[in-house]
Amino acid sequence: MRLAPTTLTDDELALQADVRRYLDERLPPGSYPLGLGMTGERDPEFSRDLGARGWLGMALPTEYGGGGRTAVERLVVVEELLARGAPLGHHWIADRQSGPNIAANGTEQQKKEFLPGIARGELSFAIGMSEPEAGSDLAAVRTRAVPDGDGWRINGRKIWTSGAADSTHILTLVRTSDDRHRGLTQFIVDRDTPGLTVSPIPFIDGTRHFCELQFDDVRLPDDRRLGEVGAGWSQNTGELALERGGVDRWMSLMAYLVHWAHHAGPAAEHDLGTITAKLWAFRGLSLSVARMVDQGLSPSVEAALVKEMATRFEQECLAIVVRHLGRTPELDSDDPYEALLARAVLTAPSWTIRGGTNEILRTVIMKGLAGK
Amino acid sequence: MSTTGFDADLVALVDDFFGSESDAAAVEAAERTGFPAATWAGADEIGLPRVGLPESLGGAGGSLLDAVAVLVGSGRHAVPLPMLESWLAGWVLSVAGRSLDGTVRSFTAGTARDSLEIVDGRAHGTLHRLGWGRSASQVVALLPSGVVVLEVDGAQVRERTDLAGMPCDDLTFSGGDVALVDVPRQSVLARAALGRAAQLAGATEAAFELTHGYVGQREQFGRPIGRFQAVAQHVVLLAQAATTSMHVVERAALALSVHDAAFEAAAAKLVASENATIAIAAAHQAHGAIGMTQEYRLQQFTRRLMAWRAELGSGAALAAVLGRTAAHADSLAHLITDPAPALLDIDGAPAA
Repeated sequence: MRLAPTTLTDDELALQADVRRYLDERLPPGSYPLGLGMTGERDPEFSRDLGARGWLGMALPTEYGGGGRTAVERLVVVEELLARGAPLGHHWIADRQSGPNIAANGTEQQKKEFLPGIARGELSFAIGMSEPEAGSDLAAVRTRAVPDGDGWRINGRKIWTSGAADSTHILTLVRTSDDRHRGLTQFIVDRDTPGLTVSPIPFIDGTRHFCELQFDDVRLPDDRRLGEVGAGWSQNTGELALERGGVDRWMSLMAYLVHWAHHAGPAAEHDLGTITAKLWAFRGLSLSVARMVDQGLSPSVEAALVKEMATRFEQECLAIVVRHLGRTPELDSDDPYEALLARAVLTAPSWTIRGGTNEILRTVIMKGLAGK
Repeated sequence: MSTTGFDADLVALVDDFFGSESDAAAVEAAERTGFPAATWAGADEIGLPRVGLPESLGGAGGSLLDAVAVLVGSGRHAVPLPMLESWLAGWVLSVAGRSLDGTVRSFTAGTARDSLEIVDGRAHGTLHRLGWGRSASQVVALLPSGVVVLEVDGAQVRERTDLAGMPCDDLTFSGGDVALVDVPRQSVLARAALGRAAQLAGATEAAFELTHGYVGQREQFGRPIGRFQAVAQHVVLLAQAATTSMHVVERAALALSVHDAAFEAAAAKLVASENATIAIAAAHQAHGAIGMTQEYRLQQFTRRLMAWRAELGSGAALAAVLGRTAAHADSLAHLITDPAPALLDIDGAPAA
């Protein structure tokens, strides 16, 4: 398996400089709540501001309000946001995952309806996949859509859906026939559709972004079906490939690490140096994956290989910085970086679970190696 | 944008040559009998030890990236030849404008135990741990006072070996010829770190391939052991180590082709060394007892990983300088995304 090195072009570096300049002004330190990478706070106004600058939906087609740009250009923007712990929660999932999925699989009407709002930072998506009996074994989902007149009627329960309570839309995977893989179909559900009840499941750190979705005779017109009936599994798999190789898989702790680098002191020099070398390596790997996507390749095994080790690295970093702190970080500390670290301690076990557990990823990697 | 890397034709040629000339038996024989002169002559005939050095001075031509591809190949096949030493020494000589030939050369970045002094233009004292020192006619050494070229003729050799069983000798000079050459230490150290990282990446890849093949064939409890997830996990770790080490080596080689990439060389070596440690444990654990025997080839790769990981840039030294660099950078996030990050100093000396 090879991840070829690549460098940023002059245009890409100019974009990086633009983003840095803008964020230095828009997010001066202390003006916003620090986030842990992709679980940053929700700030719809900030998302709209990014959209206005053309930094959301960057890789979406221009005729639907997107930027018509590349996966690498999106990476350049995203890594600047993550490094600051920026409040990207409102747009994160739509920008990373749902937008590209709709662009790839949606009808003309769906693209017109959803993509401009995603690119403007107005729409916020959540992904309804897991169920009580279908976590890592996603093909076991039981929530079912049955034909109902011109449309569909959905019944069932989804759990562990991040951000559903505050989103405008939920992209969900449900069963439309008993065929294990080819019996699954994706639907776009408005958050306020009658019959859909969203309830928070308090997360380990006390936050309430994690949700349960109860579908009770939720009626959807057929134009809310995304892609062909039975194509949901392969669409979902493609979506995961987009999701897995990104910089977000090793940048959860980045805002803290940037701060720590200036405050760690000589005793932490060795650990800081080792972390620096590995961050540099992971950045190169993620950039390589993005470049492959832009070349029309589908580096899903490579992305799994990177995610599995990047998420373990994030957890190692956390253990190291906590050891250097020398005491338990306080959740209610007046120092926002210490409070951020405390939240990291509580939530870090999720880093190797979300978006595909490391155990599942290892199986994906082994299958990929067998095919090489 | 550039998405480039090693030249595929060169990689194939190197793999072909070393694959036949440096198989398990050849490496084992070199360990018993020392320098394989005929293999060296064959490699030299097609120019492998001089790739990346200017043709006008007797080099084989090609780029730095080509030289690094040869070194990766030398690691992949556990080649029992002074490939890195000759390239580093040859590079120093070529920068100094000296012509090259097929002579065997050794190289040292210096050890704390060295006692070499230059008195009235003559070398006196001992240099330790010179790879292939007994077979070399010249040595390039990084002394605190500068980069020197020593003639080995007349030096006293204490024959020693490294963990891989390869010659790694102490040479004591008493009045031999020595010349100071005007080549920056930083540049030599960056190439030394990158070159060793390239060999680590090659040997890590070989350990991965051998292990991946083994767990697919070896059966226990009625099925290939690779079907057990606990065993498969070792293979995943090896794939990650090999892919990452190769990536950082290629990337640092590209960077060093266009700027003084001391940061990239240091980071690549540190990452490749850490991955070597992961690979050694995973490959041996997946193999079980057979991997611990000398009659099975794994040890030819893992012993090299053991020998090389702390050489020409130890984890401690590189981590210290990278840590100081990160502490002084305006932002750690900018440092790791910078197209040409500056390293404070690669060897602990004050930055120029």
